[in-house]
Amino acid sequence: MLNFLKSGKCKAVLWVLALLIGLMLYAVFVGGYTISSVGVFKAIAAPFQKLSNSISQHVEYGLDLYRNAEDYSEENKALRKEINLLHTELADYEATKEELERLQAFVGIKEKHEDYSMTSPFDVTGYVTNDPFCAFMIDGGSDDGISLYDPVVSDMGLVGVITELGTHTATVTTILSPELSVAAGTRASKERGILTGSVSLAMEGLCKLQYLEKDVVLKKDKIILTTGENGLFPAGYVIGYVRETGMDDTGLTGYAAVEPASDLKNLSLVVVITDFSGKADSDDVRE
Amino acid sequence: MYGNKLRKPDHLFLQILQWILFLIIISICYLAETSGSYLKPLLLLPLALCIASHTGELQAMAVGAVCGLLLDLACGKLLGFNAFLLVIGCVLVSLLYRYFLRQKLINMLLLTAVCALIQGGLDYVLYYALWGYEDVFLIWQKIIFPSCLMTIVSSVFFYFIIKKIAETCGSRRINQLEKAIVSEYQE
Repeated sequence: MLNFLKSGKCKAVLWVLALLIGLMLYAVFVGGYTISSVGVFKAIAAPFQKLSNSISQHVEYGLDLYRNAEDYSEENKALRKEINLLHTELADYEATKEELERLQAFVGIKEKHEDYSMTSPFDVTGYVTNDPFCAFMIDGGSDDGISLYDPVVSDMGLVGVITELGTHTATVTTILSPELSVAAGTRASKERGILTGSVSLAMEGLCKLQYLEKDVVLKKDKIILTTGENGLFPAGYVIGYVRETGMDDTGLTGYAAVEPASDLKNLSLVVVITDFSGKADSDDVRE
Repeated sequence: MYGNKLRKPDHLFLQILQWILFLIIISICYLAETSGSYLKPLLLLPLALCIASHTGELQAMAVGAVCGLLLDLACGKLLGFNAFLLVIGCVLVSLLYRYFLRQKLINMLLLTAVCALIQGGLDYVLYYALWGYEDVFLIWQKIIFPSCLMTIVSSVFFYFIIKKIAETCGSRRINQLEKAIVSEYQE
């Protein structure tokens, strides 16, 4: 063993370790692994990742069907009941919609979300291994017009923000992460707070709407939207639904556990919002 | 160091074949790491250690660096974090197998357990515990520790595969202690 310590091999190992420390320091200064050579590697690996990801999704789907057949049968029955209920509600909805359209034409309100600049949909190339907050990678990068901290959405609702950016790939941190804070609430001006991730809730696929006023009572299934106050996210975009409510440990404010509208564990396509009215500068966002 | 009785060109061909097979397995493991959102073992860790147990220190260092960097990319960690740990781990494993250890499953299980727990522990402390998240222990309990256990179990699979490849390709290492005993006995 002592021979090894005196040999050139040992020096070579020490050189490589020094090189890796240098690499880590460099990666820290440029922010994550946004190093161009790594971006090229990830771009090469992306099609293979997509292939293996689709294989694993099929396997997961098959296993899931086999394991949860009974649950699905029950869920099917419950959904049939819900469909009947929704059919009756649909008639009311149509009448309301007609009235709304007349009002829209009357006051000349702009079409919903007309201020958004969006990219074309990007494929989810893979999830970050064993990340408790479901971070994932997409096959779009700075060459596609994406910038750091741009909001990422699915057709169902808000998903997260871009936190690491390469030329052809980007990593998305989801709303389950405690690193992310979103100004959110219901349409009512009083029912507002800050939506952030919590470790215990993230394990159940939920996030936390905190700092709600003490007397605010949020009903289950109430829709939570972005309020756009911090300039990071556009206002009025669906985040999710209230699942449970409670008081914080201090007893001064309330909180609500919110289930994201998007299924964050099984995303396949997402869109990045590159610009919207009220967007903050990226330096402000970073702060 | 290597017990081979083959002619030189045959030996070279088998060595190249062996490293091609290792690279294919490493690539498959990387793809498996980046597929799906479910909890999975860090396959590249036991794979790197198993390869290191059959190679010299410099090859072990290279395997550790490659597998570590791939693990960094798959796990979204700071580039070089896992590479640094795996280079040290692989070189130590290579030295241990050269001087003290024999190719036994239990040895590889223990070494993988130590490396996986050190890697998991550092990951937990540096990426989660230090940041003071609420209920942070749940991450250890529900994600990192189960993943460590799966990693240790997966080393059984790699132990036999890598052993088979190394033996077939003629790079079975005889440890120094064993060699000394054999030569003394022969004398």
